[in-house]
Amino acid sequence: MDRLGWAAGFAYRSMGLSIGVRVNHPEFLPLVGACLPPECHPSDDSEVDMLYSLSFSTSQPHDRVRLFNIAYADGGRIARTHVQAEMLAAFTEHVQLNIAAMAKTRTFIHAGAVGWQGQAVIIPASTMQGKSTLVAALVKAGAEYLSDEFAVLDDAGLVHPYPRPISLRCHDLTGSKTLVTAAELGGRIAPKPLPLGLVLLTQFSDEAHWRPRKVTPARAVLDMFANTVSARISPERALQTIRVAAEQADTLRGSRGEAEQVVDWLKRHYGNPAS
Amino acid sequence: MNTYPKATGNLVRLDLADETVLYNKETHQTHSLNATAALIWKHCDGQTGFDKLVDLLPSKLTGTQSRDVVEYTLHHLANKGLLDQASLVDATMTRRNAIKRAALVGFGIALPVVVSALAPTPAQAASLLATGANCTSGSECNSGICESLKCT
Repeated sequence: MDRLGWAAGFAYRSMGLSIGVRVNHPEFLPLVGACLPPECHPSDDSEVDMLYSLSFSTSQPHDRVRLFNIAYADGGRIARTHVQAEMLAAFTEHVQLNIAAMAKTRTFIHAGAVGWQGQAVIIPASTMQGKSTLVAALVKAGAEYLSDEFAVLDDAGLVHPYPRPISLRCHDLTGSKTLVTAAELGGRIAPKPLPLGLVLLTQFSDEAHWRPRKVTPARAVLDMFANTVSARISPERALQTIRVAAEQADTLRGSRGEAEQVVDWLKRHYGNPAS
Repeated sequence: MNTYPKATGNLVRLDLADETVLYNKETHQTHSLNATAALIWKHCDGQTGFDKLVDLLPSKLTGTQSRDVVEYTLHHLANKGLLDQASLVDATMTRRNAIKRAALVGFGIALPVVVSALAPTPAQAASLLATGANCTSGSECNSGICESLKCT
């Protein structure tokens, strides 16, 4: 692959990982840079932990032979498509997942996360459980936005902002997604890491009413670990981080109906988000 | 009862107050042990005999009740792969468990409970893949459709 003629590249660091990117045409570098996940900083590392190679197609729509846009992670192909945006989306997701799995200074839990009264509320859940919908409702109600995809914990149990646009699923047959920012919902991104205060183990269910029950720290650890990206890669470290978080936070479990049930409940039990 | 139960190796252990969380690096199963199960499991070192395990339980239980609790707990732990099966030499260990579980209610101690979950792979612990990304099945794709190993 090194013989394919890579014209430009750059390196960056994120959470203790060094990642390199190279492209076949230098004019695409800014485009690639804009696709990087939060907390990526340029670096001058000559050796990297992971190398991405992006081959952009310069074919025109009327060309008889149309080249593919192809993305590789190290030696493996991660996308091959005529649509440039699709390759970039696949690249972004791959980088994001790699950082989440291999990060040396943070533990990534698949969860929504917001700030409520100076403390983080996280909602660990697998995909399609209504996590982003609940995060959006909380942000609309005045909560500070941390993330709709990953609760990023450090060793002290602080939850760091990881503010990607919130990805809301459309209520149509396609199941496609629309992206909205916290600002578009009338909210704002948390300016600093927040101590974990509350863990909500919940999923949307049509006829459910939010009546949460407290769970023990061990059950809280079990559920958070079941949503931890690095669970199989560095279990000792992940468990220790989650333990710190579980010991300092309350963990509640229950099915919910509409997201507003949880918003109202939080206001009743914990007061308004910013007061 | 001539039994010296021993915990399996390759477990990552995390103690939280009187509970314990265990992660098995081979099976990728995570287990949450409540206080009673954790108390007994922690003493499964291959040196502590069944009778000594019985003595660990609160004295308000009768001797028979304590033995039933320990027997049930060991069976439960062994079923979850948390004990070395070779150390469980007594065949009676696997009998009448459902009956015993019911009979434990009212003993004044928490029933031994082990709840388990599978630790995810990185891809399982993330949202679905975008159109154009490589995949192996529709369940990985945002669209739910995998065509020629690619999300459509």
